[in-house]
Amino acid sequence: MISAIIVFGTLSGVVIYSLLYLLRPSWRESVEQPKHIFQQQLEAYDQQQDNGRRVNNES
Amino acid sequence: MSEAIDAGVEIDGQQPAQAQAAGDRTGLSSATNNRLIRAHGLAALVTLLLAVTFGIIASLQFIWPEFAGALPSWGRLRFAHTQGIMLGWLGNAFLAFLYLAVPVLSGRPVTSDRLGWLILGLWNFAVMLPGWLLVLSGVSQPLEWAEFPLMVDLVMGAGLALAAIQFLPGFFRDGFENLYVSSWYIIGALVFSLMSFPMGNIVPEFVPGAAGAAFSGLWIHDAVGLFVTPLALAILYYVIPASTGRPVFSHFLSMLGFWGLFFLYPLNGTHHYIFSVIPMATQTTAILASFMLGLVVIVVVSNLVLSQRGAGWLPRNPALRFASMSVVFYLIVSLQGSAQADMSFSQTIHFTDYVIGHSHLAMLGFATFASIAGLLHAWQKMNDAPYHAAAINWAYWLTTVGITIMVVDLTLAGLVQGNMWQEGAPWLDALRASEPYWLIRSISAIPITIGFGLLLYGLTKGPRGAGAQDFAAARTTIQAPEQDDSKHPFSNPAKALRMSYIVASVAGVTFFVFSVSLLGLLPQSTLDAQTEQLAPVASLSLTASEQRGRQIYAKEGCAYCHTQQIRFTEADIERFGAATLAWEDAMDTPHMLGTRRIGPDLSRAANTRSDQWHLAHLYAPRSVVPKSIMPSYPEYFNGSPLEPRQEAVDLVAYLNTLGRSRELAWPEGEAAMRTAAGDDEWTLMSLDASELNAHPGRTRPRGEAAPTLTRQTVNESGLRLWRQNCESCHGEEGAGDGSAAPWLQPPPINLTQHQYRSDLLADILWNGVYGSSMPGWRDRDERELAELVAVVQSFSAIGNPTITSASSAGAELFQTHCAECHGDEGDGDGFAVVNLPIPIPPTDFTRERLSMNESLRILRNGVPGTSMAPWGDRLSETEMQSVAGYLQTLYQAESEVGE
Repeated sequence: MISAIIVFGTLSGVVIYSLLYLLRPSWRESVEQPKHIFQQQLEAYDQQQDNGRRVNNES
Repeated sequence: MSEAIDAGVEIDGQQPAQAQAAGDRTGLSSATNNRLIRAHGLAALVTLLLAVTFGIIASLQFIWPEFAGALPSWGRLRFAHTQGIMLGWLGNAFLAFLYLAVPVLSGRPVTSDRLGWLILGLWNFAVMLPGWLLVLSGVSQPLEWAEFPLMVDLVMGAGLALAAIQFLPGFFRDGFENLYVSSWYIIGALVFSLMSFPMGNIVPEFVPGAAGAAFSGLWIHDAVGLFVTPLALAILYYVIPASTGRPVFSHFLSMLGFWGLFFLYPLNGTHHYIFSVIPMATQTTAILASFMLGLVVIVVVSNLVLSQRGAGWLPRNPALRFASMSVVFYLIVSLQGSAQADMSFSQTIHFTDYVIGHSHLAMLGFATFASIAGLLHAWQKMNDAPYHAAAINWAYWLTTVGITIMVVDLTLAGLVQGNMWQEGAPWLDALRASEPYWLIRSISAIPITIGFGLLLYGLTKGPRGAGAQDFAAARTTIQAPEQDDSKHPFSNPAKALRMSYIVASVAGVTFFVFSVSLLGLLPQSTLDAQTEQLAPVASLSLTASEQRGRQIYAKEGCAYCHTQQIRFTEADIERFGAATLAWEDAMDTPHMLGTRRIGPDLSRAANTRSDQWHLAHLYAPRSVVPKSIMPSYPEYFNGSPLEPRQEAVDLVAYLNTLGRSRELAWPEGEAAMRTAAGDDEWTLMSLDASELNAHPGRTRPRGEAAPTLTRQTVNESGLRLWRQNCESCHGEEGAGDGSAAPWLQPPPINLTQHQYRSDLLADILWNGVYGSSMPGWRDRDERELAELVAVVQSFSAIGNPTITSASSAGAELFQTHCAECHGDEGDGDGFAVVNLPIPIPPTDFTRERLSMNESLRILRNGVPGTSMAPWGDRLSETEMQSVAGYLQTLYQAESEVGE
């Protein structure tokens, strides 16, 4: 009984999440969006570090 | 448009809010951040080297048990090793990484610089340092991955809470539908660790027996699954895209993996206690969750591998290279974990080095490589950090090779051990078979340790800022295609997504509560009910001495080599006796079920060995078991097993309580349990065991099922058996002068002065000598026993004495003074035997002949430790001569009785 709940619950969640991802482009874009934002965050951080390095070098 | 920008969406080249924030706000405390990264990073590497040193010493003691004997005992070193790796090394490395990652991921600085220094101080000087000092000095709790004592646990709990305050607030300020997967893992790790930490560190101190073990199981897995793994994955999901300059392959798969891990990991814990008395429904749930977790890990690993496309098999950037290898280790260790949960496989490999290999792969492979990747990446991002690329490159190769050798070696060792145990091989044979593997394990630690040393060197020496150049140079070598979805213009994040994450978050926490209920509270209630139903007697509470002995047993880590759970498997029941029922350890707080068997299970240690054997074994284990690798505890003696200190007496007293309640309940208790058990197949399996205590060395009354042995001649195999098992007590030539002989009463027999019939020797070898230190040897097959009989008989110097007719005086004296114990016929079956104060059976003179000198010596002095009193003050020398002469006539040689 408990095992069945775990299997059913987990698989249901996976199936619903996957179907939404596959069938709704807007959902898909929303789900994937954080990785692009993160990449920009990294670039911004790198830029800041480069600036810091440049200031250090100049001084 | 403004809404889109606020939400973090890049439109028309504008940066999202979080990205802008990463550039703007992290600078507010980046200098302090960098100092904290370096402080935690260096603390991590120093604790790593110390923890590895503890591990190496402990591993060398498998080969040379007396190695570094002046240091704290093996068990204490193991405590320091595992806690050092998890909290000292990984804990510090994770914290170092968080100071780099959280400001970038959340777009905000961490809560407080001062809080950062407080956490650093707390973690290292209020948790690690006192924790290590306490466990090494014997103040600890015998709970796996939770060995630091309760007082340190409380500080550790506070440290986790402060870490949550330090790192989490920034994530919740801009909504979380745009949170990157690393952020989720960091949030999950800190929140769930706070919830699960008390499960293994505090609850088992108050919940006894198997129910306490169920909570321990939760933590054993949650420590890895909810603390180590999420933070390691957070690093991988950060370092890989940061190093490749390209987003992860799929954030969808990342999140699928994240939720899968957090839903399923908490349900895994009980797979550490498969075939135990913990309810089978709980066990099968854990097994099922373990299998499903394997599938989730395949998803996570696939995503991480695809995210490295273009970086090559051996990335140029060392951070990415360590991350890449961590992913490989993660896949292997996770599939191993799922396989280990399979009941048939678990039956074989549980308690063996296979599991030790698995845990090394998890902690030293997957998590350590991820942590190194995080540290290297952090160093590459600090403009003023020393960085020695060559040293780091060597560190990679040495650690990779070392860990691979170690894990393969331990896996093979585990398979060998498990198969030998299943086949019923003698325990010591399995130990001997393990020796080469243990040696290779220790050797494999050499490259690992040098690698870690080089890593420390590489991050403390070398040109400052060289890491940034290394990072930039490596980036140019990556040739990766742009991802298709990177060009998608984003619409507003779906509100449904936000809702789904809310639902999933609530469900995740609910699943955790569910797991605690299912794997902790439910077993407790079932086990309590079973105890109430089956316990035929109230278990005897421990005396003050026994309780003190239990504390010594706990602090020396005895439970880490000797389990106290006979599983419901045929191999366990055959080797150790009836499977352990819940009521038998219902008063054990904390439990000592154990998860590893280097020595045999001790659930039924009571009445298995004599006190003197135990004392000799504790003082100098190899004096009674030549091939034993047990640590010696001379500090509990005043220079000799004959002069034990109170601690040794207490420890032996405790050993004699193990299994006592069930023995005392026998046989009426067994009958009552059978009635109460109804048709519960597991309880019946325990009750149907052929012997309650099946320990091969346990002594039984003479005659019990002794085999008839085929005559053998003395051969090398028999002599080797003698040297490995008998010589330490009886001496090289059987003269009763082995190294342990002075410590045992009655002393080992001087076999040169005795002549035994084969059937008596078979009986003694099969059943031992009840009440003495002479154990049974039931784990030896009949051929080996026959070979030993031949060796023992070859020691006799009696030959074939000329027997004259018996003097009537000798016969008369024997009947008057000796027959009440030794029987009218001298067969050791006198009417007084049942009332002897020391229950060692009197000599059977029809099957054992003593030389005249030996008979006279015993008549004059008696036999210490038996009921044979000295007769020198009651019989004259002439009378004793007569009796000794008469005894010679009682012997019936095998030829005379037709054998």
